[in-house]
Amino acid sequence: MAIVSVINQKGGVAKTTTSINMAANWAEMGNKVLLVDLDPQSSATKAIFGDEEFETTIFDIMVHRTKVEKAIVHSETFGIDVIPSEILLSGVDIQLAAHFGRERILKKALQPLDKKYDAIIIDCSPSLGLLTVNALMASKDIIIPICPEYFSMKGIELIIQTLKNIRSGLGHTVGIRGIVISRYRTRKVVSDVIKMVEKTYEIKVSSHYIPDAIAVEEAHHKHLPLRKFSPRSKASKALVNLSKEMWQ
Amino acid sequence: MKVNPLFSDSTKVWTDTVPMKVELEALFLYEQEEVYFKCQITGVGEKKVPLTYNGEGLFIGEINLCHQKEFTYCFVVERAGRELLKSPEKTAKTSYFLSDNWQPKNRSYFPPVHMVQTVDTSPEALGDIIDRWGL
Repeated sequence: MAIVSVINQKGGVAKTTTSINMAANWAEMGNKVLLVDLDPQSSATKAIFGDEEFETTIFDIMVHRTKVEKAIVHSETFGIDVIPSEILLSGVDIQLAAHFGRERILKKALQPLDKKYDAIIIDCSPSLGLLTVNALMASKDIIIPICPEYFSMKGIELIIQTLKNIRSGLGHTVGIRGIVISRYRTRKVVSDVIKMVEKTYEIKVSSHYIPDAIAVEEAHHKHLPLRKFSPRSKASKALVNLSKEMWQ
Repeated sequence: MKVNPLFSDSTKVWTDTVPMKVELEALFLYEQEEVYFKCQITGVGEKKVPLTYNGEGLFIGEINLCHQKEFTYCFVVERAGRELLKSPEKTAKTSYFLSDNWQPKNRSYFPPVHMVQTVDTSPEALGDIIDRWGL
């Protein structure tokens, strides 16, 4: 089973768009997929289920050690299982600060699902706190969405340094599946960014860029995967191709 | 030394030992030379482990040290127990992994055995040279 975190400490780089659509596309490819919403802002949960509220969420798994199966809900439209999030998750860093094994809670919680799913995608929060450390400890790989217009090498450096710290301080190695160019507008900026990243870090940058399209926002609003909402749009095609590329 | 508590294993206390993997890059060894990871721990003393080549440009080894305990370390290249080269001493805290690049402090050292050139100054050898090249 593959566990992949979609991570960037910066907000607004299409982490949730990448996560939910990649999960739906992997499911469409015939895989059993679980999406874990690990963002207190619950963007993925809201994009899939709207304002629906859930009795059990990822907060209960992290704090109350509730069995993971109790929090799993199914989305017919996306064809995936989801562990929803809630705003209470924002206080989890304080609640778990003095906890024994605080960095491996999610990893242990997901262990019983090893044979049940082909892939688990974790939609991370835009920060590098305890929640993100838990996501990284549970993951084999990460995918980094970046927005070229607001791109900074420091941001990538920070993620790479975090992976090094995870390896050194916690003894877990995480791989990078690739960098995804999101909210793409101009080719010139993108090619400059790709050159910089590939030359400096030797990380693969996907050739399928997700354009900055209104269809993406509308699909979120309608609680549909882009593939169903606007199958012919450039963004949808890019996400389908990207999903195929990122499936390893 | 600053340590981010996020990346400190909460299941370990400072008396627990941690198997720390050591990785050294950018080193070339001549025949009969060996490289060692040497560390000095306050109250414990000196520990030294050999590093072996993994075939992919890295020398690797493992050492058990107390979790988050501060220590000073260096890498030394030896031949037949004699120290040839030494990297500058650095300070670190015990974790699961330590990676470093080879930066020898002293680059001028005597060449390895198979590279030493000897000059034969015997009358026969000099005669050969005179015959071959003339005076």
